[in-house]
Amino acid sequence: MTENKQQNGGHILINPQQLKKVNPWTSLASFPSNIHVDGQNPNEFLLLFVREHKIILIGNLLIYSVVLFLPQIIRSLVLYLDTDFLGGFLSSITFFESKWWTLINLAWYSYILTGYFNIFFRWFYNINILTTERFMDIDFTSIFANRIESAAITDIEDIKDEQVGIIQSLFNMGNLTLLTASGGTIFSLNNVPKSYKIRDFIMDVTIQVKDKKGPKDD
Amino acid sequence: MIDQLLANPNQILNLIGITFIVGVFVYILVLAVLQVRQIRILQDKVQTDADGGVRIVTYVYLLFQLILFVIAILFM
Repeated sequence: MTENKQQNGGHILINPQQLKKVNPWTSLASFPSNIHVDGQNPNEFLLLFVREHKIILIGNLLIYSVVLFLPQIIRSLVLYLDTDFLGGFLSSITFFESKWWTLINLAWYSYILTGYFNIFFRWFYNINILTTERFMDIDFTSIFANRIESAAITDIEDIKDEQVGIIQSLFNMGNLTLLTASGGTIFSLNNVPKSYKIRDFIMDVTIQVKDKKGPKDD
Repeated sequence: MIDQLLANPNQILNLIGITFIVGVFVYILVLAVLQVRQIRILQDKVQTDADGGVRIVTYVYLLFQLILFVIAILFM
């Protein structure tokens, strides 16, 4: 087998040398050799691996951090109101010095930890994958549900790329919408890095596949 | 026992407080277990090099939640 020999990867021909190990925490990777999907055929290879931009994860974690100090804010607010308007009535209850207040704090931070965990893994498992045969959209929608959608590459008809807002312009990310031939499935890739490159890559692969299969009869 | 409780209003408040806090911690634990279960399902669907690390993180997370629950029970 020569080094340049191409291997049949599903509908399209790819060079196995193009496959490379990628960082599994990345937001965008092409030709990953160390990522696999359920139901992957032996001659099916991953061409593209996309997640939301990391700044979206960092932003969500920072926004969530606002509620981290909610018990302390409530305590300060109540004590302030108590001193100024209620004449020390609430202070006499000494709730904030009781074990109940400590327990509420403990429960609160336990819940906050659950929230951080949820935000991180919802980002980590919201994945879009383009293989040599299909496009897959994997979503960790909630802790009770996940959703996986897929369509054959040959079904991808049109791709819309838009970059909206300050954050997307600043961090060079965008929203992609993939329309399928059947019209039934629409894939939305929100806040993906370098969306214009992804659109170009998917279009190139789609055209290559359709050219190989030949024009449709209809 | 109910007569004793009614005779001492503080005891009723304590009972309501304990039930509420235990309920909250059980709810958080159930959420944590469901989260980890969902992560395991998704790990089956997409396999990456980070799977080992993710598995360890989920175990540590569950253990930490359990420790917080035990601390809360002991604190009562």
